[in-house]
Amino acid sequence: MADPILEAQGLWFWYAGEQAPVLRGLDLAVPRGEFLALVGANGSGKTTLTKHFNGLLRPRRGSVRVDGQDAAGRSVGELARHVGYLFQNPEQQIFSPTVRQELAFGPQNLGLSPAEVEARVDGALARFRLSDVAGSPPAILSYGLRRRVTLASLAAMDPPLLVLDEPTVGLDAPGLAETFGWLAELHARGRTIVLVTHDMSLAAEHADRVVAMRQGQIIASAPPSELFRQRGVLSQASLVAPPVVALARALIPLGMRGDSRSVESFCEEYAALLAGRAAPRQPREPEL
Amino acid sequence: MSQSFDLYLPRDSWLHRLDPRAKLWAVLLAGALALIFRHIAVLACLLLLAHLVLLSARIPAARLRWLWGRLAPLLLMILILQPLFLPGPGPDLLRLGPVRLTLSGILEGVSFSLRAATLAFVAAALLLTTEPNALVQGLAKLGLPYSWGLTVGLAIRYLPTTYGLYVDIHEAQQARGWIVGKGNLVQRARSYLPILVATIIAALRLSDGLALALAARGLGYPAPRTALHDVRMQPADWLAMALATLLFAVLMAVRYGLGFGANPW
Repeated sequence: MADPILEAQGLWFWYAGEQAPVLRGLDLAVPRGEFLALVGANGSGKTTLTKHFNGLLRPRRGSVRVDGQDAAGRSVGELARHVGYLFQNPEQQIFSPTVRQELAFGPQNLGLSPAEVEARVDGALARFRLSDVAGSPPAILSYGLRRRVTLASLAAMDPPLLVLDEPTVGLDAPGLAETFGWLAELHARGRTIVLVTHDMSLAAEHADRVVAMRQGQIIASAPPSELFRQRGVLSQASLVAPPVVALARALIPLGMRGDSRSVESFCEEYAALLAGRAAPRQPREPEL
Repeated sequence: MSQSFDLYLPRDSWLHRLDPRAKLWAVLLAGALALIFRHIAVLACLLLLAHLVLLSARIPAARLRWLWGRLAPLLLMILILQPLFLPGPGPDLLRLGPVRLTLSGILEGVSFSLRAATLAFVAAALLLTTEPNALVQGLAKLGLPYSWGLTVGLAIRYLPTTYGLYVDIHEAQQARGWIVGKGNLVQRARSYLPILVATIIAALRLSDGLALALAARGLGYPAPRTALHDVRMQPADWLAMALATLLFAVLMAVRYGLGFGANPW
């Protein structure tokens, strides 16, 4: 694979005092600029795997390379420049007295110039519509706003690789759209994104590749349209294909290609299919 | 989890504007005085002074009442237990078997309670008026490594959070029918046990998650950390330190020169 930003080789991990390994000889390479979705049932090892990417966990056996360098000799603080990590629970990652200070914490640790820190903080505040609450204590904000603060904190650090562990939990529809709008921007700018999610619709719609995990191993790795066709894999990983993907697949006998990844792409294809089958109908006169 | 309140109260006051190092120095001296003196009148004066300083810094009286409310159980316990376990010399005011109650014991209890309250309000003068990041920066300027200063700052900041955890767990247990604070002393103590255990576990989880989050945001990155707002000693800070030192010296002369204040009365 050309220029992987992240490589895990023969990764084994078990928690101290536990008998069963959580990761069992896992191999994964993520090319630079990829949007990868990591899916699997609870306890399949997704979070344990991603915590190896920034050194929060260290392999019992095997190795992890970040940006071409072995992660083994580097501290979590050093790896933070390369790997941004969003935790599942925003409560655990907000600790500063104000939103502005929370956003500045990471860039300050990286030793950026004060002007650069201010520019990044202001940019992230504006991007996540947090400017009005910049001076407020994060603790008094709603859950959705606190989630946005954690995303903005990550944005202010601007790492080349972002690992997001269930970033959509607790977000409303506008928050969800905003988050994935931001991820799409980052993806377009060549940033690498690893998304841990239970939401198959999001994985199908946004990811270049979906990696399915089961019992600490990767059981499938393919583009979403391919992976969601594999009923055996879905069943093994306790996954359910997104409804729109299942519907598109069910309509293959009627002429659909069956590779729709979102409601929008399904509607476009279905409308084209209908237009091709029947002449456009005249609009009916409204009944009086 | 409830994190809805913080110790620091942002206000525009002379005390808020003081450099954290000047405040730390004054707190250190005031704390030392509270520990050196046992005289009720001196301790009451120090406590009154702490209140006046806080009120002059535009800290609302409601916050002072809140602090008194949190301290009340501890102060009450000292007031009751001190005279019972260490009755001191003098005639008995009351005697029930081995338990004696004397005037000196009661005065000693009052002295200890006043000392505890003074220490709490002196510490509050620092924590209620010092922005946590400025405090961390002040400690770093005193030569403490940044991560140590941050640890102190976070420990202080997370006191109300831990209290919030306790309140949440207390309410959750009560909502599920757990009866707290009823019955005799032993039954009451036992009723709090599940809440304290759950609070300790939740606090440990919180601190674990916090440590991971700090590291993941680059704490420990091998570069000098950027300071956005530098804290600098101004003439007013030096003046405040000089006044605090002068007061300390005068009271030390009173205590050790004149020998006043070694007893509670």
